[in-house]
Amino acid sequence: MTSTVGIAALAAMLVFAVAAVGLRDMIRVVSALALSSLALAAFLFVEGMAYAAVFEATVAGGLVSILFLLVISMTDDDHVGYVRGRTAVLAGGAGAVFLAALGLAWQGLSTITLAESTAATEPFVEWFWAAHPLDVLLVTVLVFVGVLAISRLTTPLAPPESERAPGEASEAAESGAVETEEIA
Amino acid sequence: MTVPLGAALAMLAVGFVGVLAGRNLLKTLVGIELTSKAALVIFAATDAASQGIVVLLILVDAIVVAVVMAMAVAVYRQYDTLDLDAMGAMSW
Amino acid sequence: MTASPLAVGPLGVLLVGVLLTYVVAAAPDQETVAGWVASLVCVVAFATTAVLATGSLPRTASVLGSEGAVVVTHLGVLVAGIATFVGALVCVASVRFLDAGQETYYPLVVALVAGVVGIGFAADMFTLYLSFELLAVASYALVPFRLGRERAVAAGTRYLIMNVVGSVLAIVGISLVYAQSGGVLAFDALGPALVAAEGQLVDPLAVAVLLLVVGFGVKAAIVPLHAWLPDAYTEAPAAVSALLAGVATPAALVAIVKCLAVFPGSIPSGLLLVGFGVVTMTVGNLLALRQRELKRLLAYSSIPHIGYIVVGLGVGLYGGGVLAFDGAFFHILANALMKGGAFLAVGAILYRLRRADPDNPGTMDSLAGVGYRMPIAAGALVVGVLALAGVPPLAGFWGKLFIVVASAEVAGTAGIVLALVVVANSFLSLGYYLPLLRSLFASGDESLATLGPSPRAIAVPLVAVTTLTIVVGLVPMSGFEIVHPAAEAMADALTGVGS
Repeated sequence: MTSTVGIAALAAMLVFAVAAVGLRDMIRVVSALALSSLALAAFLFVEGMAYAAVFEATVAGGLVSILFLLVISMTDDDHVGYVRGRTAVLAGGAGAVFLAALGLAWQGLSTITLAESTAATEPFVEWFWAAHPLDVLLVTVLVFVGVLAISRLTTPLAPPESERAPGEASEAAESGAVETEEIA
Repeated sequence: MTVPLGAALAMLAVGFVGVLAGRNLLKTLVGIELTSKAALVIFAATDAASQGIVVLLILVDAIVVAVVMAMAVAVYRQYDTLDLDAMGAMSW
Repeated sequence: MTASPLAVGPLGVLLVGVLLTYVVAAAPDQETVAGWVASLVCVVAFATTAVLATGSLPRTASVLGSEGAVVVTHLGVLVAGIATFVGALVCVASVRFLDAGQETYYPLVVALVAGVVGIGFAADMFTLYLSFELLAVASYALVPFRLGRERAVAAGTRYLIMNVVGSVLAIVGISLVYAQSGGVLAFDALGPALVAAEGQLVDPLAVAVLLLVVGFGVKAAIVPLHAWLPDAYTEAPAAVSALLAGVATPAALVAIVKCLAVFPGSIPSGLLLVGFGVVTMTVGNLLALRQRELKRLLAYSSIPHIGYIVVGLGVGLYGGGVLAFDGAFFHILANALMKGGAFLAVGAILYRLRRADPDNPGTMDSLAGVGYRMPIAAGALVVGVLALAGVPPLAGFWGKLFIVVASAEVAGTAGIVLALVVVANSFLSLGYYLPLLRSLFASGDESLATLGPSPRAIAVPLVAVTTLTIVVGLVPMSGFEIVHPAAEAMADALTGVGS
């Protein structure tokens, strides 16, 4: 049975979600998204999942928001080289939340034991590892592969063929640099 | 279980609206991020033993979101915009 | 079920291989070496899988003290064998075709293969989902790998968005299963744990089935969730298209059938799949008929093959028994060989054509005479395409035959109609395969006189795949022996659920 606090948290999550979809200004959208994450974190906490709550608040609420702001500032149409006023304040705020939550996580992981898990006496980390070793490994590799994917997708482009000097282009064609991409 | 399940499905619906209505790739991503929370709510509402699953899911979602953002950077470099209609990525 | 540490072998080798390949590739000017390392990783994983296949199955292994984290089943061995084999060929074919600064290519390919193997060996739905995500994330970077092309980025974006949403739907489906079973996700325990909520207006399990089919179905390119496929296969490097069409999309189908097999018989998952399958093959063939571009034609022609497999799986789940699964799994095996070979051959042909003329559109008309200049690639393409069309006695014929017979047997008139639809679709596909063959061997164009032969790095995998396509076709028992234990295990598991 879900407690009243839990229901309130879920309601808040939904309200912020609707706001995130409905709002136009991207900064507000990201704020709403982060708040929605925090509401979900509260729900997780009420459900007795303190660690999941910490992860939701730090990773989904904090880290993802910072990434959003970063990409927004990178891809803004009136691009400026630095993060602008409002964005900077929000990024700072998100950073502070992130750090605070990280501290909380440290505290939590080192002291709290799980209230109603199958192995209530073991520290969470050990229980977690014992229960899902392959899953943990897979996610570890997944993180690595994600980093590879990101590094590939953000590789700066070589100038397109049409913009190359004619000599350059033929040289590239000779060395096979242009068509090699056909296969791999 | 009814309330969290309803909330999860509502979250899925709201996120879907965001994905379908968003013209901007980042706005689409916000929708995706919202839909992905639906599963977390259902897992969490079932029992506390799902905590490991929830933690890993949060990490996986974060990676996927970061990859979509990297894609946004690639799109912006190629098209100078994140408008999905303008780049024709979502015209069927 | 016997326990043996070897069971973690294939997946372990591949997961370590991702890191290893990257370390090698990151060193300056080592792209070629990285290619060989990646091939070796796949070969070792294949060998381990082969050793596992000869032992008694299913076999389980404990990972770091946790028992039963990996379960090696007949189906898992089949999937892992196909994935590592095609993976090795793709790595060999890509060697010497990478520029500096593309050090992420091979680790991503190995990661994709690892994801597929993980899907095959996963003991519970969550591990299956994580493996699926590994496959997905690797492919998100591989599809738009030619970042310099505008259309590649657009194709990659569409692929990314559709598949991310699909993944979310799949995990929501899994979470519903978790809620309904009271916290059980392991495949061997789910059957008894899941009881349909009979009499309810909306059965949560029916919703879960729908979410799983739609969620994984996006990656499998089931119509109407196929919109990403034509552009993605056309714009991705040919080797990646071979990997996606031959291995990744069928892996998504395996994920679907592994999940659906645990649901109680009262959920009409078989019928749902048959419906999707019929639509998929018919629409796919009709769309392919209109294509003039070589690679795009092959891309579209992957869709009907997904449809055939889905029909086979659906008939099997509906109660078609071993024969339907035989057909579906045989076609998964044949599809990997045919599609893998065809895409690699097209890659070689386009490589030579564009080297001669960078603006070559790659349409069928521009192919005239290629058959005489590039006998190996053209020969592989001919065999691949004839096999895809289901011409006997090539690999593509037998799977379809089993599916047709199983369909006709299962449900009276409706079954026979279904069988006729599959047969009609095969003939329909000749409508676009034959013009392709004709243009390959049309009278030679003068401008192609200087066209070089197939690059050696591709010729070797092409010969291997083509030989296998012919051998498996001529001696269907060889393929049948590989897929039959998996089909039998699947059918047995289903009758277990039904009782």
